[in-house]
Amino acid sequence: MLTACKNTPALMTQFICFACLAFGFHSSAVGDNTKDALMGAGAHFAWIVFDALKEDLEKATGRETILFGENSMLGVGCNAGIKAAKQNTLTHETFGFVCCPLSDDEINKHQLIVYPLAKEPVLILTHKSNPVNNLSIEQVRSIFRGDITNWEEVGGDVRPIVLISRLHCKSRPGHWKTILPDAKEFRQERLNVKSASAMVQRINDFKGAMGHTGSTWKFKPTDEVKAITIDGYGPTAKNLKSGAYPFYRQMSAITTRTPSTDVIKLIKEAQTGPAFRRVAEQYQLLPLMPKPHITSQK
Amino acid sequence: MLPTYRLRLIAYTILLVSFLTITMAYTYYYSRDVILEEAENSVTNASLLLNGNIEREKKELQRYTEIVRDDLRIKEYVFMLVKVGTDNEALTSLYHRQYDWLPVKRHLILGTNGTILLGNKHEDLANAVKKHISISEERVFYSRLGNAIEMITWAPVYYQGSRLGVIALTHVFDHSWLEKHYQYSGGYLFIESNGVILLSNLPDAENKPFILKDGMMNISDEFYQIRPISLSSKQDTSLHLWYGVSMRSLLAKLERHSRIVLLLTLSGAGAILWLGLIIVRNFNKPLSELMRITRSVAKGHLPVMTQTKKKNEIHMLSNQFAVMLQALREKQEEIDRVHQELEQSAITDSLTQLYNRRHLQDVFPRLMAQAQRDHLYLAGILMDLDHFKQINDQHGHLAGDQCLTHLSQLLRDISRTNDYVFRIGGEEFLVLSVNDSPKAGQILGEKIRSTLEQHPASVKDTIITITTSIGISHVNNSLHAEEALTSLLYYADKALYQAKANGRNQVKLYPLQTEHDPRTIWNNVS
Repeated sequence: MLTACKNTPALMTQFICFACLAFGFHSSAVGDNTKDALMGAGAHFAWIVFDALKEDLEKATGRETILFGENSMLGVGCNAGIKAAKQNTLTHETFGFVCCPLSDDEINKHQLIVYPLAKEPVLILTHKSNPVNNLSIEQVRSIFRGDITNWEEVGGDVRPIVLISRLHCKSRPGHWKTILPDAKEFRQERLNVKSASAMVQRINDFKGAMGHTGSTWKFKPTDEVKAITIDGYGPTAKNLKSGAYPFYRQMSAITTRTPSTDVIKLIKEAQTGPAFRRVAEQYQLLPLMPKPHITSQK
Repeated sequence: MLPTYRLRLIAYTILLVSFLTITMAYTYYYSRDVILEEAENSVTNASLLLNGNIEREKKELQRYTEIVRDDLRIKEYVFMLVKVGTDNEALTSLYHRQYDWLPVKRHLILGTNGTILLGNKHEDLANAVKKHISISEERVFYSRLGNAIEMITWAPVYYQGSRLGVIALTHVFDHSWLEKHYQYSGGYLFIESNGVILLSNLPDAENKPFILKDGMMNISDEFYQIRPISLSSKQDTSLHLWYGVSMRSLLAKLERHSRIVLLLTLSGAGAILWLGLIIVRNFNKPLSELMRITRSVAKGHLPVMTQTKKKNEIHMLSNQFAVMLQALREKQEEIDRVHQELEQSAITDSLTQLYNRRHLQDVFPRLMAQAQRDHLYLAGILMDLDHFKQINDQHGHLAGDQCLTHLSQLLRDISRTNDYVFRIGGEEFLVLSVNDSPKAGQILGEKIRSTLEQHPASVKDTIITITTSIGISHVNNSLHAEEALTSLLYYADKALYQAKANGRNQVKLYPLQTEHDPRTIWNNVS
């Protein structure tokens, strides 16, 4: 714990540096050259979707779109998405994207409009050499709780389970909370990582590892990682829709309460456009109804 | 005080050589002490340097240990090993990926229960670490690894507040390490345990007994100056590291230095001697020349001195002396010329430039001696111008003088080289002529008379015919020179009187009878 605390300032510094770099870059260099561009920033997983749609979005709006969100491990996450949305002005049109559903409190506090894009399966990952390819929901939850600590108990090799978790966006509902609703329920003897890449790296290293990440993560061909099925259901949009696959999260776009027409046009295109459907299929995303969700103001 | 500069120069040179030699000798003996002292300092400094190096290596190793210890992933993986009981494959793989570059000898990660989590084959190291940790908190210690010394640094690994184990890294003082330090310290290193040399970069030293006496050690009949290298907190207290320098190399250095000093001394002395000799030679040579010239001048000679183009003081003095000699020589020549002129004027007649009566006194004895020696006849031909008074009265004294001059010139022309012509009175002239017969004098007299008669004097477009009466006598060799001259002049004058009495312009010989032969007299005399 002591060591973890010691590392916190370093991570904070990293985050601040990257944020300054990213937004500083936007407000100076980008601001001058792409005065009319629409700017979006946020969580890495949502960025992957937006980035894949970029050309279609620009066609739909007729304006250049600039996106920030690659490498969420460096700190550009959901909070950055909220911040980007809040920076929207008449002359500087922005929007954000998040990988987790925001809480009502958060939406009201920041005066945001949330535009749900899709449900993304949360993959349960193990080492490729692990003979176990399927677990029941209960077994998964037992493993994450620490009730099951050896693969032998679920039909695998005699090998201790190395549990790897990434408990991000703790104040927001959904995502890893679909596995266990509270961080306190997770097994103590686990590796808690700060990024999806670290998660994948740890699973690569430990043959007895088990972890989780969103389905939009781009695995490298050299990764010794696989996603297992839950109760025989794979992490697909179809299984999400049917409710057979239980672990998911919701990715959304967000704006202030006064988004520009072009921003709305862009988000609509993202929610409903044919390009988005293609991307959703590629990453097994389940598109959500394109209804803007506005909560009552407090 | 030495009397000459030459001796002084030689003395100065000897003094300089002596001074140099003494200085060099002092340098030699003093430098010997300095070298020995410096050698001791060098050994001490080298051992301190080695201590510093070891300290630096120790800190470096500690830093590496801390880098590994502070690696979050290493901690996590150790945590998994310790708390979850995974195998060490992931840790090993991660460790090798991350830390294979570390310049250390061995890597070890131990669990809190003493299990080896990383570095399975290093059981000896694990045991040494466990033993050390059980007795000491010090993060560095030394242990024996074969014949080498292994420096071990360790650090505890904590994760989530609990201690998981320790990480230990090692660095070894093996043969290559000893060699590396030999490169810049120039000395030998010995790893010793229980009085035996375990490892050394000195060939053949290993397994030899290590016996130290007064900071010196003898190995294979060679002595080494030895200093300890401090290894703080040794676990194995029987392990020691020593630094040594060969006395032979020190002495060789000293010997080399001595040779250089000796060479310098000899070169210096030779150079001073050579310079001294050159100075003596350059200084002495012109001085000696001056001395020789001075002595020569003192003896009355004025030798010629060649001037040189050299500009030093001595040569300038020599040149001045040469100029002075040249001036003296010119003065002397002038004096000689004047003296000669005076002498000439003393024996010649100023009007006719013929010898005067005084010179007759000088010349006569010599001519008489010659005649006596060679059995010849010395004739005295005495002549007197006829009617000279009338010429003076008629033509003036100047014309008379010119007549005398005319006669003088004729006499010079007619007489032979070895004849002497004198003006012995106003219009009286005498010719001394040495001949081998009495007739020769008479012939000469006749020749004079007739020539004068045929060659009148010319005075201002006036031809003055002049004649002379001549009386001839021969020297009586039996007489003394003075008397002989008087006798000669007396008889010649008698003959002249006879010539005048007979009517002038004629030659008369005395005695008038030819039977008188002076050689008869000479024979009587001899």
